[in-house]
Amino acid sequence: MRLGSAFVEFGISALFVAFVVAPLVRRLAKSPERAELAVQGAIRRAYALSLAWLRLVRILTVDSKELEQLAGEGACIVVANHPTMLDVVLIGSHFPQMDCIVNAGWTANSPFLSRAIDAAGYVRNDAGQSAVDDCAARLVRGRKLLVFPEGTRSPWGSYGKFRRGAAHIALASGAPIVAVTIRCRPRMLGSGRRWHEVAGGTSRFELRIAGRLDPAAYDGAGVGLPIAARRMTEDLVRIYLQEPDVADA
Amino acid sequence: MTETELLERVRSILVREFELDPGQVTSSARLVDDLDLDSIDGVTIVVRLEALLHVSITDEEIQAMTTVGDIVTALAARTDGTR
Repeated sequence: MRLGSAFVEFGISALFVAFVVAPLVRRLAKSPERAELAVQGAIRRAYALSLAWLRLVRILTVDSKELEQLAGEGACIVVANHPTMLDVVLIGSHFPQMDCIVNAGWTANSPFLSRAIDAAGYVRNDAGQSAVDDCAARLVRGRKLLVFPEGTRSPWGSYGKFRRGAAHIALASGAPIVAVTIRCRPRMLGSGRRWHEVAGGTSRFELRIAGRLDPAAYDGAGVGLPIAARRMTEDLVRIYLQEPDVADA
Repeated sequence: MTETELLERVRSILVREFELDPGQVTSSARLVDDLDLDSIDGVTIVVRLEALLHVSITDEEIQAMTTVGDIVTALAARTDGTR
């Protein structure tokens, strides 16, 4: 019942962004980029509202103060592990502007969300090199990007395979990678679980900055980009493996 | 150029560009599952093949290929490779 109310609230917010905010800003904004940024700002407010509701009905508590220091920074690639369905909401609620790489297969099954995603200018993960170029160009213009390197929710008790897209984008743009860990106890809305399978109590979310990677350290190492991206991704995986209690939920 | 020679050329590119063990790069090796290559690596492969063999091969063609042998077969068709 509590979670049902949260999903209804989230659905209404998504519909509002897709069918009210997006058409309005498209008409009023002076450029496509300004329209994207306005929609992203609306999405951030929708996320904040959803989180406030989830807190109110005691589905979760959140400690994400560390992310506040990122809000004042320039371009960066925020990467995170992906234990729950709420991760993008938790991170996105902190940033008025946050580009995002989304799962193309997932958006194909969500026509309403897909509309909001397109209006926000989010990038689908099936575009290969052109997605890297697109994201890098945005970062060069000072924008922030959120990437879940596993590409889908983390499996229970471990991590999924980290893809190298974030490293390629960092190397192409010069923007640093900021590794964020998401811990959730007890874990809810995880991989392979139905949306209504939630423990009766309250889940505690903890978001921390676990490390940073500067692409200049890899790009200038006298190796080609493919190898630099591999080494950068290996180091990213190492950051997560060194973090206690992240993947064992 | 024979398919054996083409395989050697492809192997040399994959070993050099992606730090692969030469023993891994067999004709039956799967590009994604065995060699851990992705769509962005495909772009690198295309660029290197075009420079080395002066053949035209598209990113889309590479994405559709599953094994090292598929690349060799496609190159053989373009370079009149014989067994």
